[in-house]
Amino acid sequence: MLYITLMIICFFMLMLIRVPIPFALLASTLVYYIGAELPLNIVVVRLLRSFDSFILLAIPFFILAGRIMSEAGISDRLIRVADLIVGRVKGNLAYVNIVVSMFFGGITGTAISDTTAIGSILIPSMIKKGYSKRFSAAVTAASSTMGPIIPPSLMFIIYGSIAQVSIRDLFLAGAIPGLMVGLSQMAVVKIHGIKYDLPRREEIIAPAEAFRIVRDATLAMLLPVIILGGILFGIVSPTEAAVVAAFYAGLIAMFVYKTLSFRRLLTVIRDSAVETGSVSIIIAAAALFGWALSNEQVPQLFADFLMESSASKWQLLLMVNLMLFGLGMFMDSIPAIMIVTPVLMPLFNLLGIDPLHAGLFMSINLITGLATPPVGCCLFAASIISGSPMEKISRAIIPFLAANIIVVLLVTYIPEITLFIPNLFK
Amino acid sequence: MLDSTYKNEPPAGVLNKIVWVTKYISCFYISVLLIAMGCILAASIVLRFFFDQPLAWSNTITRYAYIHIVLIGAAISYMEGSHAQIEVFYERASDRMKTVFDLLHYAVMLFLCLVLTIIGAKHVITMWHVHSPILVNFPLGAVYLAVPLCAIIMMIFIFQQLRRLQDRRKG
Repeated sequence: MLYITLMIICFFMLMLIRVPIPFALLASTLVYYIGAELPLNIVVVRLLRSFDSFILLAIPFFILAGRIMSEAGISDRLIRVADLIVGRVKGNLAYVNIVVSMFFGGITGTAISDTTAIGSILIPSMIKKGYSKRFSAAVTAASSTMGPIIPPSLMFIIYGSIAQVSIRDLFLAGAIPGLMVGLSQMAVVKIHGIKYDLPRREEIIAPAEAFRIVRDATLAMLLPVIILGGILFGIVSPTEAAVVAAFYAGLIAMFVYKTLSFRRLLTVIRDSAVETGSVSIIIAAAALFGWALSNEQVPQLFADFLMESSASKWQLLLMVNLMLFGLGMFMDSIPAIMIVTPVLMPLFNLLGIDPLHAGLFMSINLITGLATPPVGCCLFAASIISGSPMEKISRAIIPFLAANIIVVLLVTYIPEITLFIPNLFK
Repeated sequence: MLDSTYKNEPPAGVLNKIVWVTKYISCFYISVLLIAMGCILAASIVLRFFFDQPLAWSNTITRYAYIHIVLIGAAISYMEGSHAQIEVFYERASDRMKTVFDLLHYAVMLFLCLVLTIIGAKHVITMWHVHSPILVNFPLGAVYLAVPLCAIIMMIFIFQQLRRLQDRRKG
């Protein structure tokens, strides 16, 4: 137990001095291996074994598909469709921001690309129309957090591979919570719109123009349909769906939209390969760290300790919610879910919580951290684009965070929200 | 090849040139692997869908390629500073403390890279004569080669950063 304590202390110390999280995990695990006199050659074997899985091959191709679509300039097309759907309501650009994030999340699956791609177009437009800088940035950052839970989601693929949960079921389970996050944010915009008399769109879109807008975006919006449809009807596995999505995105970007040159495509491939490295290495490092914890029965001891505290199931879940919220404030959602899943799984098993349900509420809990200070990457990106200081956006985002927290609590305590759609398809 | 920054000439200084060339080759290598993976998996899907004859070796070879992409990609990400990391304490530290943090950071990373290089190289040698059951004559040591390669790439970069720290102190 001494070495495991040393390992954990070492991990936190290394993170404080800005050692990248995957290497902080690896280096601190080495401390345990050396201290416990375990053979070091196992490190390499376990390192490679943890990502030697066919399902994880979906990661590079979902990243590639998302990057191609962003490069192809789909943001503009999606914004116009969202504008058409939202209509001429008060605060329409704020609603458009949320709706387009739902579409974008379904195509790219990442939050930060949503903030930068959508924010760089919508934040200046919102400011020009009379919205405050901080509100424009806050709504952009908050709505971007939906990306990682709207299928296809990298977080779900990674969680599914650790917890041995079907990726298909996770994708299906993410639909209602994703929608709830979007609707709760729209409710915040509604209240804000009434309170501050937000502007609305003046122009009326003619039916012919509306048809053209929908036609232009149809091919991009078909991407999530192809992915989910293919997986749902058993035509392709999640990994194959990712490959199909990448090819589809490349073909329409190069030959239909004609917005992506061959040279640019090569750069996108290079960037996707590098991003695959930074996302997937965490899986291996966290697996090694998790193995050391399991070897000393830490997750089991943690679960037993909580179970003996005579707290009820709901009180324990509330503690987990608070812990994840705190963790999400300091750590990115993917490494966080990698680290906490093996630790919390024994507790969830003792509490009789479905791993599918656990994956969903943990994910939504952690994504809230993407828009919270001090390390929320979406908040940073929105601050840079809007030119509004972090302190001001941090205050403006509080109502959106409150809405997210309400959704987290609902998803945590009402499992049917998550399990309803997967059960329909069983 | 794949990045606009590579169109420029390599930077001055031997160490900088080595880092530049290493990054260029590594990026080229993982990009080619990703393209090859995509083509193999796409071919397998088409063959399975239309002829009910998927490529038996596609699963194995793409998993091996993925391992190389992840480890070499992680090393390039480290060079680019794009890994998940906690900046909040570092940013609030004084310049002197930042230098101390950097030195500690690089010392830990050098130790980690050294361990990975030695153990990884040992594994490569041991596993070189072991062949994959699906890919005949494919040495499994080639899969493990990604570990020392990743560690060496990061070490080269760390030496460059240490040199910069030294130059900054002198300057």
